[in-house]
Amino acid sequence: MIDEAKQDLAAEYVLGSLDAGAAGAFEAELRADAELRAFVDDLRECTAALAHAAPPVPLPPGLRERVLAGIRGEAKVAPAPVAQSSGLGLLPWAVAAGFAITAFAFWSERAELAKEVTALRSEALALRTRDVFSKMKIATLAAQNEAYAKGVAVVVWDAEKQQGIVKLANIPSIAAGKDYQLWIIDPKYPQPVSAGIVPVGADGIARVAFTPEHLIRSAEKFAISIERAGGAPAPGGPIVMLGN
Amino acid sequence: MSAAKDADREFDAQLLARTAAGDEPAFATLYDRFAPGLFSMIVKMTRDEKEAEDVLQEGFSHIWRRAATYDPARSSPFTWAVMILRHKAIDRLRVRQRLERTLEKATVEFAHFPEADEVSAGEAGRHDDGAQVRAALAQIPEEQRRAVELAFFGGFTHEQIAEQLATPLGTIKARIRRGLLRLRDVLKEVA
Repeated sequence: MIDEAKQDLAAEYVLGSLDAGAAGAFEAELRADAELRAFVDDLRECTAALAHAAPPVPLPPGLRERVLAGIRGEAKVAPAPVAQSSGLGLLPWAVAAGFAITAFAFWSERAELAKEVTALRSEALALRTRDVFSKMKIATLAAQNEAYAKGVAVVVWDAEKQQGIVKLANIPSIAAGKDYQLWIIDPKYPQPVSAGIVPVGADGIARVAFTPEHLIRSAEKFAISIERAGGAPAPGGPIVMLGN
Repeated sequence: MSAAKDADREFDAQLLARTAAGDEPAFATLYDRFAPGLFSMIVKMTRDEKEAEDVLQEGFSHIWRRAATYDPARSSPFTWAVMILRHKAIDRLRVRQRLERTLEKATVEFAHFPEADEVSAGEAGRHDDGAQVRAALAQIPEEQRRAVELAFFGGFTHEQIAEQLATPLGTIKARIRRGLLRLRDVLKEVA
């Protein structure tokens, strides 16, 4: 008989809610307990059935070809000797949150900024020796001309996941036929890598999640320029915000 | 389990075994059978079709590489695929949550920073499954269903759901456990 506390753990495990440590401990129990293993397998089947409850969305054209092209040349993996795991690879989010709060501390007191930046660098240096969180970068971009003097631009970049978010405020409206475009300067490439256009509302605000066009090894700087509508393959217009 | 479902499961398991041996047409058939349902699930989770495309591509690449690790004694092929794709989607959701949290904190210093809307950037036989699961969900008490859906489609941990719903963690755990067990029983009844 599996008690309720163990059933709760099983549900958390199946749903991927356990952190890596707890999931590992639970998997050790699973290996030793056939009844629990059968319960988890049963729960996993009914949980996966929930996928059918999602409203149908048509597959994008061309995706099948991209998936099939993507697997050509990929190495295969031999069967693992252990039972099926949760496969989560969960990041220690508590540490992430801690880092975020620490990072915020350095930004929240403008008057103390210079002193805090030094501390931030020390902290970042220490974190760099640890894990993926050392790959996270926060950049504020400075105006490059008077018209953008009141503009605010903050970029959060996760090098591990190759994803970021840019947030803009007090940005002047852009002329018809033009768009703001975000660039990442990586010394690996001869020219900045596009991270896409940044649509700014009439209120001067934007918040955009981005994935750059190419793999970024080192995001040295971020820049926003004015380019033709829809974006340009390489920067050609004036840079209005820049920072590292 | 119905004979049709048994046959489906066996056929999918054969496709996975052939995929493990490097049989590309078998993998393509598996894609045709699984991709529509999986894509819909990921879109519901990420609320972003472009991101869902990336997750689907990443997930099928994982299936191709690791097909040999599938254990038919532990789950059906579809369940195995759902778990792989869902975990990849959750990984993205949590990165997004982390980035957003950090961004929010980093920008609080700008006292009058106004809020903005975010700009983000072989299915045969499975149609009935959708109707069955939705009907089964309808038989679960609302508060249990809500908690289960937040966990499954929202990718939230039990702690995050407790916080969101301002409800004790123990209550959320019980709701999810009862909801899943009820779902399991109802699905078994209709199978």
